[in-house]
Amino acid sequence: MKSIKAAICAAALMLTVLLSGCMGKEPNDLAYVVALGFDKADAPDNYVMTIQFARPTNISGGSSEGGGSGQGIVENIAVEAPNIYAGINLADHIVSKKLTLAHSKLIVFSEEIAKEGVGDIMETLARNEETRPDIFLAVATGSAQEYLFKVKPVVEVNPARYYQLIYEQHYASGIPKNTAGDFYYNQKSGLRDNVLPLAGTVRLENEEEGGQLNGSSGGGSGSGGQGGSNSDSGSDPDKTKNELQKNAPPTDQKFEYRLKDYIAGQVAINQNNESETMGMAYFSGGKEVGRTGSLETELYNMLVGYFEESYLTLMCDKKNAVTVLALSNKKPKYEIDRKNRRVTITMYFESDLYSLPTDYLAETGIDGFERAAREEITAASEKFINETIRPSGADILGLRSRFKSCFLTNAEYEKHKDEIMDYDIKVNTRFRVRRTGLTIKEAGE
Amino acid sequence: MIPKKEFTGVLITVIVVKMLLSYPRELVLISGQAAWIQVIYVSLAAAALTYFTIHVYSRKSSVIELAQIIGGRGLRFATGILIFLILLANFSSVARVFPETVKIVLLQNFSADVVMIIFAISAGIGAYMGIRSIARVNYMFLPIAGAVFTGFLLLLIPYYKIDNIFPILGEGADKIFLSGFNSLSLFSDIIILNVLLPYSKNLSEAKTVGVRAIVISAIVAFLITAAYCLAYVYPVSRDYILPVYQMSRMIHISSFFSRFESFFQFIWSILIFLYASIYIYAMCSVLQSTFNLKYINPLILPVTILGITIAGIPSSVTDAIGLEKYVNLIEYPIVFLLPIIYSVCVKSKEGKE
Repeated sequence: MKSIKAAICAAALMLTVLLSGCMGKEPNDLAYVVALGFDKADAPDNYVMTIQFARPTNISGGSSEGGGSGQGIVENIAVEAPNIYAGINLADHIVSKKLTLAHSKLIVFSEEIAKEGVGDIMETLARNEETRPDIFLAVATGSAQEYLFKVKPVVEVNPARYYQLIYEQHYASGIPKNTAGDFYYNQKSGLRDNVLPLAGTVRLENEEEGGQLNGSSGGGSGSGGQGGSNSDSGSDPDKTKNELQKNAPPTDQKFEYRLKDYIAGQVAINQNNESETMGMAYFSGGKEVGRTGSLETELYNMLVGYFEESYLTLMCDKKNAVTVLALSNKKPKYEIDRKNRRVTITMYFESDLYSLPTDYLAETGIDGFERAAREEITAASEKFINETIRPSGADILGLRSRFKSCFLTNAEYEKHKDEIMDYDIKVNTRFRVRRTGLTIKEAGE
Repeated sequence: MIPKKEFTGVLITVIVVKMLLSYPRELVLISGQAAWIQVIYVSLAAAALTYFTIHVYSRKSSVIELAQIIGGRGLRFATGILIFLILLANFSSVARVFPETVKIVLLQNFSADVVMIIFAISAGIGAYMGIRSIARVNYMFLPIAGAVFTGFLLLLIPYYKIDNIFPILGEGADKIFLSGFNSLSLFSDIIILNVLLPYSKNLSEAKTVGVRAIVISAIVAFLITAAYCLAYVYPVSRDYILPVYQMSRMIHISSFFSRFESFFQFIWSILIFLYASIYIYAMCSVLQSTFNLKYINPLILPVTILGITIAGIPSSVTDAIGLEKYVNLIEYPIVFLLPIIYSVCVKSKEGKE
């Protein structure tokens, strides 16, 4: 008996050696897709799917140290297919290695697809064990293919990490945070309408007009690139000014004084990486219904609690603009008053004084400055809610998801769920200056 | 004899393994985002039934032995076969769902049938080593599983959204308290305690083991269900075949740590292998006492083959999960009521004598 048990134990130990391995998925035989782009194809119900995959041999060390300036770290191919897996199947015939979505970080939809709804693509992705819920989604200001072809990280050589840094940075308040998981949950539950960051490309003044893959960030479905292949766009030594930069509308509000309301593609004047991410597209019923620039996106982030820290420039009286580093360590509070049909949103900020005019003594009138800051943020937020969000009917603040707590059962909630959209929304802001930087000025100095 | 703590560990494993498969989804399907209330409710019901069973149970004999006292050999055969079928159904559903889910989440390029065969061989070898060995290995492994589980719940904290559990009564009180009573089947594996009663030192120790196992399993079941309800908005939570696995995929800490499911898959696989070994041994033990057989080891191979053959009958995972639901509905009244009825009958028979 003892010898049988010993034999079984020995066999089991042998199996631990023999059965370990990658089970047909050798890492060297895989091509890691880092981003996917979807554009409408000319054929009905077909997409031009741009697949961007990493070239590990060109990525040194997997971090920002070393390596080149994004040259050749990714490869893009575009195929026309009715769905994502059909596209991957086609691409597998072009690329020698098996494409895997296990390390995908970004999916970009063209404007046209976003307006028609991306629900089917998301449903497909939710079933796949390879794709992860923390993939970032974005809507291209023009063509998704164009954006991916123009992505060329300058200070980060790992493309997956580049997308993570761009789309997850906690100090960038000009883009919303929404992963594939959140998008799917919101869409499926109907409790909140989605928002996605805008991804665009700059248009350089010396570029040729009409070149689909050479820079236009406005319009165009990008259907002209299927079947092609392009190793990243490469740097153009003659590039000069971003033509779209002047298109950004100036604002007259005191909140973020004099800062233009940029969307992706309008920000930088001269840069090597011709791709940008800024602003947001908002959805209603799964379809894109509008877009906002960076300033309103910042307000959105404040209202839903995604704002963590950012510089704010506030006009505290008629002539003095003060820049503070605003921090929000507490989520906004939503109070729903069914009797008076009102929602009160209270936001909490603390700040450090960072920059103010030399002849302005903020420290002596700190209460007045705080009051002015509260009023500016409140006014800008209420304007954003009443003039931008409400006319579209989109529930991007997630009022329905908060309204649920007023009911005992789902059946009761279903009966009343739409009434919240007609409630008045009042915004309160709690804003305190906690620190004054490394200097403190007093009257008489 | 199996020491008290190891015996408790065996019962916790057989009860909790269900929660690692599709059971949390079954709870959500009944009461929506109020599934956590349903778990508290059925846990209290299971505790009450266990307390009552302990109260009336006066012998260190399994239900099969009690059947012999009440109705002789005929009732013993009938009871033994009934218990065997219940265990076989439980084992087969896990033996089917596990390899299929392993194929979905872990070994996409590997045949599920091969996984099933490896699973059966491992479970058979485990059972061959004997219940004491299984109980000891299980007892050594549970602290590791507990540590991973605790880490898992803590790492999920940023993903909990309190809004997700509202409306607080989900699909309604009637669903929670009437339809939800069927989820008492969560604790139906407690029958293993009865089947393995001869391995307990005495009746009083067995009773302590039963109570502890129910309480600890109820806490684990509550934590898993509450985490699932808090992490996923309803009705999205209706859709996931493997809720715990799905939650483990949510966890990511920056870009440094984003594959927590690999820890989960390790714990999950070992626990299911232990579960299967315990079940095969218990099934053999039932056959041994039903037919008064001298040895248990010759039964292991046929019982394993039978279990795996039955596991292969459903044509798809959908069928297997659907079948599991019906099996649960049928088995829990038998599992909870049979020991009570037989004990009462034995007591009244002894009283008459």
